[in-house]
Amino acid sequence: MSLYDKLGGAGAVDAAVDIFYRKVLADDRISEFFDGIDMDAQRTKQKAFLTVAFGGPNNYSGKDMREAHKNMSLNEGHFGAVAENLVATLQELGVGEGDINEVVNIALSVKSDVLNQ
Amino acid sequence: MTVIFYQAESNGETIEVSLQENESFLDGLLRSGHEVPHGCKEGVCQSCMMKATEGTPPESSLADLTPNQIEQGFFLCCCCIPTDTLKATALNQSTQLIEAKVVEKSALNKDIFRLRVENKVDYHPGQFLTLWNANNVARSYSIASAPNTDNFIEFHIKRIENGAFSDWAWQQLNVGDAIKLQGPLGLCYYGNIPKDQPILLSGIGTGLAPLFGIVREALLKDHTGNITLFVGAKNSNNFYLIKELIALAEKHDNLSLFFVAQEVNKTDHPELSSIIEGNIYHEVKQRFPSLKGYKVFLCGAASFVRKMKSQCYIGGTDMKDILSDTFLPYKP
Repeated sequence: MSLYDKLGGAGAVDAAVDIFYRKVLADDRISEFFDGIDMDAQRTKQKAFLTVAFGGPNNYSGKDMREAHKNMSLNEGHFGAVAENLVATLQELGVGEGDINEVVNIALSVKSDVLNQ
Repeated sequence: MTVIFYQAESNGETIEVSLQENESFLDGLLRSGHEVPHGCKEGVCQSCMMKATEGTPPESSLADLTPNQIEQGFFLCCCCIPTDTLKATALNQSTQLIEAKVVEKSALNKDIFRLRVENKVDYHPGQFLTLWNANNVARSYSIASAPNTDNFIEFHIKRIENGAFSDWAWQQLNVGDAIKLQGPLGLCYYGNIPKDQPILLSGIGTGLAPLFGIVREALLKDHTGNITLFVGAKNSNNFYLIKELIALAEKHDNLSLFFVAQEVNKTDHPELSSIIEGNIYHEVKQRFPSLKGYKVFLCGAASFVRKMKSQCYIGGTDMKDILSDTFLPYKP
């Protein structure tokens, strides 16, 4: 069984997206990056990101991720904050430690694109 | 370089304009000295709608158009930066505009006045109409009346000094004169929500107009859930419609009102038992730390709507339960 299926597939993404996006918006370390954006569109992007992180079917393109985050001057601290919120979301949903580690590893694989390294 | 063609009248001359980089269809026509009806330049008021006869308008120019309109080639030229040659004609506006006579004009406070016109349009309170004046100036205003009880359509208009519409309407528009209405548009209205769902409404300035309409609509439809209205202002002398709101709250136990101003003059509005001196975001958050399960209506300036929307969402409201209407200033 794939990680995505184990986590609960699309239903898990639906359950996670609002918990995750709320945590991100309420996090003073990164909330300013979300000022003045279309929240509905951003929520859709968060769903796409979580689908990737959960190992689900996606059209993930490092180029898009890179393009979307360029000129934002993001650093390791910002990336770490998002990762923390992701872990806290999964914990809140009762996901086991082993699965959380797998999700975090996938999230880490997009780090260089997000930080434009 | 993209070339556009525009025909203002059927059988009329076709204008050809070469667009500059990142220039919209509308701006290209205006730059080359042509008159084109338009309003907000943000794709909201729809007064610049045209019909494509050749070429495909970009997705960005189709915001909020109905599938039927898109199928017919309609697009908003203010948000249209075409990548290929595009040919368009003006819509026959006469089929879209409805004339209505002014039945009342009166001041609501020092800078907001009420305009009532004959009720000739089907609408939901909270939607907006685009009003056209005699000089072909178009501006959108939210509807504060309720169709089942009022035999007029009411707008709350803030007077802008030298405003092409607002100042004109205040100075020159009289009871008995006709103006043209286009619409209605907008999705920020009561609709078919569960009767017992709690409702939070928050607005600043004339954002109260649509909210007043929505509150009355909810009460008319016998909404049983709690309804809480937060009205925000910079100064307490900016508040208006207070007597009407208090009368509603006295009649309906499930309606609560909060008036929040950054600066409060003690002598303003003696009929109000209390005006909260403070910040509306903070006051809402303090009284409603959790907004899970709420229906939320937000109206006012863009920065206010954005911030409040984020706050309500963080507070637990479902994204689809937050309805908002953003008021945009005219950008010449």
